[in-house]
Amino acid sequence: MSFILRRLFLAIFVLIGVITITFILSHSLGGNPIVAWLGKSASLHPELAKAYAIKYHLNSPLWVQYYYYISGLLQGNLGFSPSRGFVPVTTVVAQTLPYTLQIAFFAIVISIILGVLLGVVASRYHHSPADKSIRAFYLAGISSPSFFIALVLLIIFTFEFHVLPSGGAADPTITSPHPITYLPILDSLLEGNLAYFSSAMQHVILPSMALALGTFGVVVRVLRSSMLDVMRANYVRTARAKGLKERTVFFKHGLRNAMISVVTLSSLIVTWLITGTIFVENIFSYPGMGQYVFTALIAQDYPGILATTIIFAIIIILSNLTADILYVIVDPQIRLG
Amino acid sequence: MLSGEAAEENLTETNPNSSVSVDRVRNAFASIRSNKGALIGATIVAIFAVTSIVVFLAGVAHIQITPYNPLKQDVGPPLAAPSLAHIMGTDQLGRDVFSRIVTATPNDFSVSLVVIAFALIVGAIIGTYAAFNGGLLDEALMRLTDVFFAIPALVLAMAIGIALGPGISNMTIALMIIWWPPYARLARGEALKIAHQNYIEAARLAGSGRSRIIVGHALPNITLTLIVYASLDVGTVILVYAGLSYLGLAVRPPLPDWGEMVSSYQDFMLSSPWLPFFPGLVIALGVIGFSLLGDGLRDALQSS
Repeated sequence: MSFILRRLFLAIFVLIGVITITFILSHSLGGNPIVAWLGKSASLHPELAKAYAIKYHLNSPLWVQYYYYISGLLQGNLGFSPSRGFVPVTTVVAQTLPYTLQIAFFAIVISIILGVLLGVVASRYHHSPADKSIRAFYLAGISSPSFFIALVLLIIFTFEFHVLPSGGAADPTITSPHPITYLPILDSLLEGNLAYFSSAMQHVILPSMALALGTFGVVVRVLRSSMLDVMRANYVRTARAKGLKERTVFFKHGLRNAMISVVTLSSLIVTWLITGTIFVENIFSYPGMGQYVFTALIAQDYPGILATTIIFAIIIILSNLTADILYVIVDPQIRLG
Repeated sequence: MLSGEAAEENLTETNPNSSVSVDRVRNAFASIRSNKGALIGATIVAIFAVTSIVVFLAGVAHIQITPYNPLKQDVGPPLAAPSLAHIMGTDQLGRDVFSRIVTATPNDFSVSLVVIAFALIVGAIIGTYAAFNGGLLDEALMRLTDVFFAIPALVLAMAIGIALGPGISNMTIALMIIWWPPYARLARGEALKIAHQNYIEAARLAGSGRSRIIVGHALPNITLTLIVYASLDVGTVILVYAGLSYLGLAVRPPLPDWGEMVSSYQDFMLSSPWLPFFPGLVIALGVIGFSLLGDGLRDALQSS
């Protein structure tokens, strides 16, 4: 228990660090964002620009701006987003985060299923042609920018074979479900809105595939090497000597233990996926946080950029924490005091 | 991609003795020569490196080495499919895509080398110093790297990049600021492992000061591990830089850059799917080359 508490404490510390570093880096280096926010009206109406500068403390010293930001943050106020017509950033986050969680969830599911399947084949038949082609496949995935994978999938499945939609979160003519959990796909299922559910699933496949193809290789690589290690372990030799079938040894004794390393790895995948959403959501016009970052960036929307960085960091910190805790639960040998 | 932490475990577990010797390097070269993947990787990297150097020198001397001027419009019909005259087709303005891709090679290559070299040197010095000093600096370094591990590199680079303004050199600075912490952490771990080995104790007994021990004994012994990590990391820098370029933060049009080409050509993918395909493929090839070479290098140094 004290291990988990200590990890939690560290996580909070890291979060404060993330906020501070991002704030300093994005605020201390920059020029004047007012021009980016107001466009031509900044020079046409200097009094308006001045009013905005005062309202958003742009002329105050850095530490004063930081003070205002942190005190706002503690009250659940992340500022206002110039790229979305100055609505509160929290509103934009509430609208976009569920969609990002949706594609991230399916991307993780796809990478783990694909990664474990191919990892099992690769380790069972290691050094065979199958092992080598799997390596070539995941190397190509891991080395390709996510925008490239997304475009290739779009060209193949949408423009060539017309089997999947090109973008959006669901068919806009279908009524969306009422928010219960705020995750549209889950809500539609809870509500029995199957038309929305099937449309949303069709829309989520390609973006999450595009993300998963870049990350499943990590699972294959780790599972394969830990399978090869585990299958040489003494307890596997014992299991074989007991006369157990090779299949039982492989899956029950081998795979089960090798999966421990996959669990800890799932947090690494999250970091990579999060970055990918920025490109993939933009290409598939999926209305998540990745797309928000993209527009916020172009508009020099500092509150938006800061908020998304912080939320991305929270997701990564939480997934690291979960992986640490799972690791302790899954592996009885590890008892960290 | 592996994060620094995972790579650190990966390397340190299996590389207990990292003393540099001529034999070891020679064995490593022999091992790479017999490793097909590493050879393919080395070939790809060599092609990219030579292209970068030639393009750079040609640019300095104002000689055109590409089949067409990469900036000149209407050298062929707009949106032409790949043909003998234009092996990767032409874009919407009738510019030769192959010439543009070749011209952009030095960008990705130089950015990744500068960023990695900087991270390696700064990380090695800070990490080793922290390991030998301990105390507040050490603690601060570890907590700082914890923080950096929680922010995706691309997102942080974006935030800095947007503040500095677009441009290749600004993106390089942004990447340099965020890239060194994993190296410092790795260097610290390696330095701690050798801190109590006999030759360090011997140097200490012989009266060498701390900085002399660090520069003369510790740094040379951890360099190899760091170089292997760095060689696996070049691909990641290329990917992140390509992402920044795709977001329009790196070069200003009409200058060509791989990531930027993919994003500006993706509007034409319905009619001319090869347009965004070729620059994307070249990025992937570059990254594959470096990861194969890095894998080979790691295997070679571990086995020798």
